Amino acid sequence: MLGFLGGSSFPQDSNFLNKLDKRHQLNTSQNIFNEIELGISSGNVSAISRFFSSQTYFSLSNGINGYYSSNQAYYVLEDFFKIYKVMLFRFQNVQADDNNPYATGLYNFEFRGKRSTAQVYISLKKAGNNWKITQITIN
Amino acid sequence: MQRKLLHIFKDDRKYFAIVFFILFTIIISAFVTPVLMENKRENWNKELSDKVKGIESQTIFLFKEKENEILAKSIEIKRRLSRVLSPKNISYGSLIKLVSKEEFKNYSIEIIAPNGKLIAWNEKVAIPQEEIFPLYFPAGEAYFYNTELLDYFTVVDTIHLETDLFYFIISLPIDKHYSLQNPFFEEVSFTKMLSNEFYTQFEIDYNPFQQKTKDGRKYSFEILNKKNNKIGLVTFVKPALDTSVNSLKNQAAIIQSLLVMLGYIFLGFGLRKDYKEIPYRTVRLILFTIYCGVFRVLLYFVGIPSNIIEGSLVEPAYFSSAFAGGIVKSPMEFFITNIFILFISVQAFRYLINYLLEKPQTKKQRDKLSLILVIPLVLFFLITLRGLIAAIRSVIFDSTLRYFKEPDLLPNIPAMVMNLNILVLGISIVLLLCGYVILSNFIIEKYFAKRDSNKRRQFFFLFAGFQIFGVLYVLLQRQPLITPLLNFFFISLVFALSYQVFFIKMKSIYNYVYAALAASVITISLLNYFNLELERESLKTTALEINRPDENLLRFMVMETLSTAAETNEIISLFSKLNTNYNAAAFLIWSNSSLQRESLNSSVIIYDRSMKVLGRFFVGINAESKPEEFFANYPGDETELIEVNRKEDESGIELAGITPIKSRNIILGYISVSAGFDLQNLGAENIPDFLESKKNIINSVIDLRQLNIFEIVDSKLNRTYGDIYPSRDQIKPILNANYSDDNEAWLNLILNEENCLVYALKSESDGIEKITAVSLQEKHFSLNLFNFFKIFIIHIIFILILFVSFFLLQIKRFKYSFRAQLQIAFLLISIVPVVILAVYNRQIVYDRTQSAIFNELNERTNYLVSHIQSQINKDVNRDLNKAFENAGRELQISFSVYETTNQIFNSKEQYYNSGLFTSRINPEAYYHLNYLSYREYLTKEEIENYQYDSFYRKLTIDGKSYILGVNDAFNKVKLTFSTIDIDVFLFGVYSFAALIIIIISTILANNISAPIRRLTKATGSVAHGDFNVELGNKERGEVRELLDGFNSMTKELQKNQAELAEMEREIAWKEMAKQVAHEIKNPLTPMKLAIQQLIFSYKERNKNFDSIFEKVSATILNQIENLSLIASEFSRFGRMPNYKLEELDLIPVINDTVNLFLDEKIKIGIDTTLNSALIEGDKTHIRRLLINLIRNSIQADATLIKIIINWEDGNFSAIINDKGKGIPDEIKDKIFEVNFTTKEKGMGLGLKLAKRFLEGINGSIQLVNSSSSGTTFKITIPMVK
Repeated sequence: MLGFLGGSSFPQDSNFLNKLDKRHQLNTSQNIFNEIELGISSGNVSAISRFFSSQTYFSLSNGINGYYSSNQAYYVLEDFFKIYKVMLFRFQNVQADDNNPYATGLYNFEFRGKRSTAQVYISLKKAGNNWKITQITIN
Repeated sequence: MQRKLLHIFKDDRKYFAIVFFILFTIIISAFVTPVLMENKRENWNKELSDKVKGIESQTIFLFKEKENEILAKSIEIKRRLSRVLSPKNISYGSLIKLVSKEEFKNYSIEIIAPNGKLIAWNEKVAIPQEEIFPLYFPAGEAYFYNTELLDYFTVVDTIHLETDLFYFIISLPIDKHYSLQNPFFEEVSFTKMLSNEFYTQFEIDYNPFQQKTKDGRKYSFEILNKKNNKIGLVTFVKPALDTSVNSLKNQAAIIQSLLVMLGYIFLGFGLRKDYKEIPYRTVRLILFTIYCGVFRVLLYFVGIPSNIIEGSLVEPAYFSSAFAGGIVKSPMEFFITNIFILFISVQAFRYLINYLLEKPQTKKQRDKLSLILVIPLVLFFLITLRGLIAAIRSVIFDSTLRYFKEPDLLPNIPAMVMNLNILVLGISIVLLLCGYVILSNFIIEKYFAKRDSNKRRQFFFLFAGFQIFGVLYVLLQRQPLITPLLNFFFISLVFALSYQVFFIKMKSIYNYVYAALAASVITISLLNYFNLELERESLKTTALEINRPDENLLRFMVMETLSTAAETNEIISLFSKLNTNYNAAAFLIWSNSSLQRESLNSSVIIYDRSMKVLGRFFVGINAESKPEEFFANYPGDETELIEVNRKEDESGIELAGITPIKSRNIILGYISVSAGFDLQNLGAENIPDFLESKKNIINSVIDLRQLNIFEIVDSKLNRTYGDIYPSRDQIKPILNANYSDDNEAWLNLILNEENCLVYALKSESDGIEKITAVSLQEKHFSLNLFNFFKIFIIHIIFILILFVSFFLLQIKRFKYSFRAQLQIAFLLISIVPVVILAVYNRQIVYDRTQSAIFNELNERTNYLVSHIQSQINKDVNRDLNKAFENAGRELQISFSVYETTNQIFNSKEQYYNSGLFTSRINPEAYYHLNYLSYREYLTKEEIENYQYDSFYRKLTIDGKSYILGVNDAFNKVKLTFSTIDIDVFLFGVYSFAALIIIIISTILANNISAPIRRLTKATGSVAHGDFNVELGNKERGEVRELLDGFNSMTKELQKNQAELAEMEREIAWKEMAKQVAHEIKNPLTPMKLAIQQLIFSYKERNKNFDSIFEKVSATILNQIENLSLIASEFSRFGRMPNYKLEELDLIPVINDTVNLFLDEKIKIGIDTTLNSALIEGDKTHIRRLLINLIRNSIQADATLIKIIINWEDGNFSAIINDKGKGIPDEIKDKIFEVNFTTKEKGMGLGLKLAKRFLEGINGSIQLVNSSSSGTTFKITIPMVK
């Protein structure tokens, strides 16, 4: 009896653990997106820079296009926020799935007195135990 | 009070007054700025009105400038055309030459004959022939001509020649609507220029029909041409109050920042005197470092130069590092930091050299504690070297600049500045490293000074010690940055430099040039080494790039392109225009979207409201695949996205989307976009170079064609890129590799019998495991001399500038000496032929390159002609266009066919349809083939600054003449080296050769002229009375005989001088004896007579004996007095020498004397803070006594003499200290005695005469001290009154 109960509960447990783990992963990538959203909406690069990987891909409205080291990524984004001052930013679509979490949003900015919007795309990838940004597109 | 203030602020203290004033200004500005801001807010309406009027008038002025420019060109063309087209002169060749002139390069020029036919044009054709008439505007008036891609500023004018009326059109591109992110794209945008100029958004409607805006936030005004006709409308966003206030705040902040900087600089000037008075160099260096450090940090915090200058130099995209909180966050910030580091290291180096030249005396010679100091010095050396290595690594990895792949001979500005940064940093570090070595050597030398040890051998042991520590240091690191071999090489270079400084010439300004050369070699070697690492890393980037464009990203890009197109007024308005070129519009949408930025296989199609295709543009997608068929069943109202079904043998992803274009909710048409990615997309090989994005990925580091990529899905090889198809066994190591937590692995495999480095990246998609493996053969890694020279050229330019600057500083001291003549002669003989050879080689290579291009294009043309001919021969009725199409598709050659001047076929139709290329034949080609009856013609053409070659040949088909044009715009003729590569290589190699020649010729000139120089100096010494000179003679041949002859001559002269002196002394003594005898005789005779008279009187018992006695006594006493006087006179004469006293400056006399010993093995340093030392003395005697003292020091084995000149209590003193073996105690008291000498051939008079002379002018000489570590004499001479 005990063996049967133990035997039947074990797979359930492992299923449960798997679900917990997945939910944990989902939560983590969701949390990362929340932090990134906060960082972009306040133009605060430091809030985002810890998620940069050793090679992060940027495609930005000011002509930045390509892979940048974590050192460069910080100042590239800082420069961008200085020129295209954020008025409002929000993720409109967040897909925090297991393998290729990504989010898209609308970046409202002011540039030379004129207000405009740009589409944002950010994707994450697991590197060890941490989520890292693989790509930031602001066009 | 005034006097007190003046006293406080005298000399350097006056700068403090400026500092106080600056501080005061900053404080005032802090109060004034808010007042100004408030004032602005209150008066904003008026100010806004003025600003708007100002912007309007300035914009109109700029337009007028452009209009004047084009009208002036129009008048110029008219004038020249009148000559060329006149019936007497008319020649088609002259017409073509005129319109093709370089000065009209930026314009489109078209000449229309009286019959309305286009007869001449240059390479840019703005207005198609069919759209010229009827004229939009009266002739001679400027207006705007619009196309989908470009707006032109155009003038149409006429030329009347007798009964003929010619038209000509000149158009200047003023605004491009499309943009391409690549280095070829030439930005032409009057709108952007105005936006940048006035810092607000501009929109310009280049047509006269647009109405002014009703938006209160914007302002519109009309553009009128010279005839006051409206030709366009300008609208701009009115300056916002917030923006203006912020701008004022920023300007105030910038002014305050500049004032802070100025204040700090003047503070430094104010403290300069106190700084110079600090006796300890170490303290001075520390204070100097602190001052520079604070200055740099201040510059960073106040935002100089980042907040003041704009452009690529302050863009972190080119280079940035998080080191030290951001003081190297852009090329310019890095440069500023480097300058400060250079100041500090040069100062430290100078202080060290000066310290060594004035080596202090200590009684303790063998200080064990000081020897221990060598160990931390070695450690500092290694740590500093590692710092430089880490910095250069950052330069490679934290930069998007590809130093070894620049397309130009001279790199762009950011690359040039980064090259300078590398060199400056290298020089700073090399000087520090050299300092550590020299200091270590000095400590060791001091420790072993007592023993008679070989200094060079000690230096070699020190070198060995550093190398051993260096190897250990590298091996013990967890993550060594470089190999022990490279470390060895760098340490050797630094030691070579240290040897030059320590043993050859310590205080030479050219040591800095040698340091620059060493720094250049070290830094370029490091750049090359880390570039190899980057190339390896690029395998990883390639794998990342392959995995990056997933379905989500494609979805995002397609949707983004569709939504942007649907919201762009420019696109929407196209549907309501007549004669819209929808192909051009499709290209416009594509070029402004992320599809171009990502260089994806993509298409843009425009439909009318019944889904009929109006226009399209596609890249990388097969035209036959017909993307429009994806939406055959499209319902028509909403945006839709679908995944395109791929064929079985294809992999990758492709998505397509469609959206309606609406205006006021009415559907005008549709736009569809498709985008896909597969392995073949990598490097955008399907996209022409002139359209490809300048994305910074793999193809900027390594040649993509050298990579082999394998895509393994579910443990099976799915797809490959490259020419290797690995077997199952070959991919097993990839499957079984040890993957890290980041799902990556590095392997070494043998593929196709070549060693390959492989990077493998695991990923998962929809539960399926995928491995992307990127491999590169080891032999393709680019460590080679070619890369070395590419950077070396740039460094050499900077080093040459440094060298020339130093040379010009020293030009007053430059003598056109024998050595200089030899050097110039060697340089002329060697460098001139090298330069001629370089130029000749370059020309040959260039000609061969042109020849290779001609042959390749000729061959392609031959294939085409034979393919077309064979088709026609098989089927006489075959449609020509069909034949051309088949040939283009099967041979994959891009070509055009022309009938007279018009294009009737093009294999890359869509690029011509979109308006990127003109469909008119190249005018030069047409002229040569049609008028000069050439059979074929090769020319260079250009699109967006992208140069390509075009080959034209006449073709006859069925008796009709055509012209076939083959170009390599779409598949470039592959050359082993481009002309630029050859230029770089030749320039680099030959400049390196020139450098070697300069070094060798300098060494040779030095060696050949050395004996002559020694001879010259020795002759000068002899001329100044020093006959003890003897020249060492290791020479051969005539020079040996010359030196031997000189030595014999000086010995003979010395002997003769001694004999002469002896003879003169004898003659002088004889003369004096004769004189003395003569003088003495005079009084003796009367004395004798007087005594005789006395004796006679005594014998005669003269009664007047008493008076005679008195008389005789008086006479004798008188004569004795005379004798005494004579004796005194002669005695005084014997004491007084012949001196030529005059007022002279002691310092240059000492300098000149010291210069006589420049070629001898002794270093003589003069130390004085005095500007002059005026005395009354005899120059010759002073010189002679100094020569004596120096010779004595040399005789005592001294290699270093220090002369300190001071002033104290009305006297100038010269302390002469040497490091010789000293004067033995037992003879110290005798050195000033006559005839005392320790020399074999000495007269023993030198010091005696010196003492006599000095005492004669109320001076003195004394032996201060003497021991086994040296001797010190002190000479004192009163200053002139």
